[in-house]
Amino acid sequence: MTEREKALMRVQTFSFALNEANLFLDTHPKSREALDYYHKAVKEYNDAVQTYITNFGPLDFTQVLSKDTWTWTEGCMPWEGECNVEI
Amino acid sequence: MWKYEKQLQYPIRIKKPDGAAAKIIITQFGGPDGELGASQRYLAQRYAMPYNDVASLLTDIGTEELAHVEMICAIVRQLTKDLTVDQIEQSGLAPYFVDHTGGLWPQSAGGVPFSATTFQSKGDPITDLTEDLAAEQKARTTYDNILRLVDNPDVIDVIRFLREREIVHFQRFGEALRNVQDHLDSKNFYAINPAFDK
Repeated sequence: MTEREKALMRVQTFSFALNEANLFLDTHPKSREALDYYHKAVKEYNDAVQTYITNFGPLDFTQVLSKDTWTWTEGCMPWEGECNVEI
Repeated sequence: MWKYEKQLQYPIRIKKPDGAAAKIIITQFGGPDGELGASQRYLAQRYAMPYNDVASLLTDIGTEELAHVEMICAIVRQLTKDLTVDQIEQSGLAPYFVDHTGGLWPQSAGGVPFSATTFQSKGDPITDLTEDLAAEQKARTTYDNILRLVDNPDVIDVIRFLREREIVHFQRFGEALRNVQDHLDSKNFYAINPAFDK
């Protein structure tokens, strides 16, 4: 796995964990256990996103860090196989 | 992948219910030149687009169109939520009401259900972008027609915003088409299909 793939896998892992917590909390808004899980996952997710975007480019268009190039359109497109981690 | 943001792209606050206005504006949800078709057109076309800048533009405009679907639905919702049964009948909304009550369902002003046959995804950059240019103009004309039919200033303000976005998208698609042509044989743009021929 390349460094980019490792960083991407971390983003995808915590992004999906949050997805799952999101749905569960929508129907169980008072669950302390789920809320703790959510807050831990948000922290890990934000951290993973920060690592990814500083090293490999933006994941959304508000994360372009370069002051002289529009890097949003650079790199591979997520629907292409070579852009993805081989599991 | 997508994430939902809990805000509208432009504020919508309609004070007066108006069933007749809702009946025509719903066409921009599920009609032939509506926002749902627009979003699905661009988001479907992007997969075969061989140039990153244009694939990104299709993603970004397609995403904005999803936000416009939400705005049209917000307009229709606000125009219809306080209508009495008498007002529903007088405004001609009874046929819609009997099937959907106060729910939002994608259809044209004439009641024709949303259909993917209103757009193409041809897998050819020049063909797709030329369709996209026409689509933006068709939506702009629809908004012009809505502005001719509606007199509520709260509605007019939002429709003017959406109309302006069609013009901006037309401009960007024109630039994208020019960028695509720059990649091709200037003596014959059609010598190859860059999305298929290697």
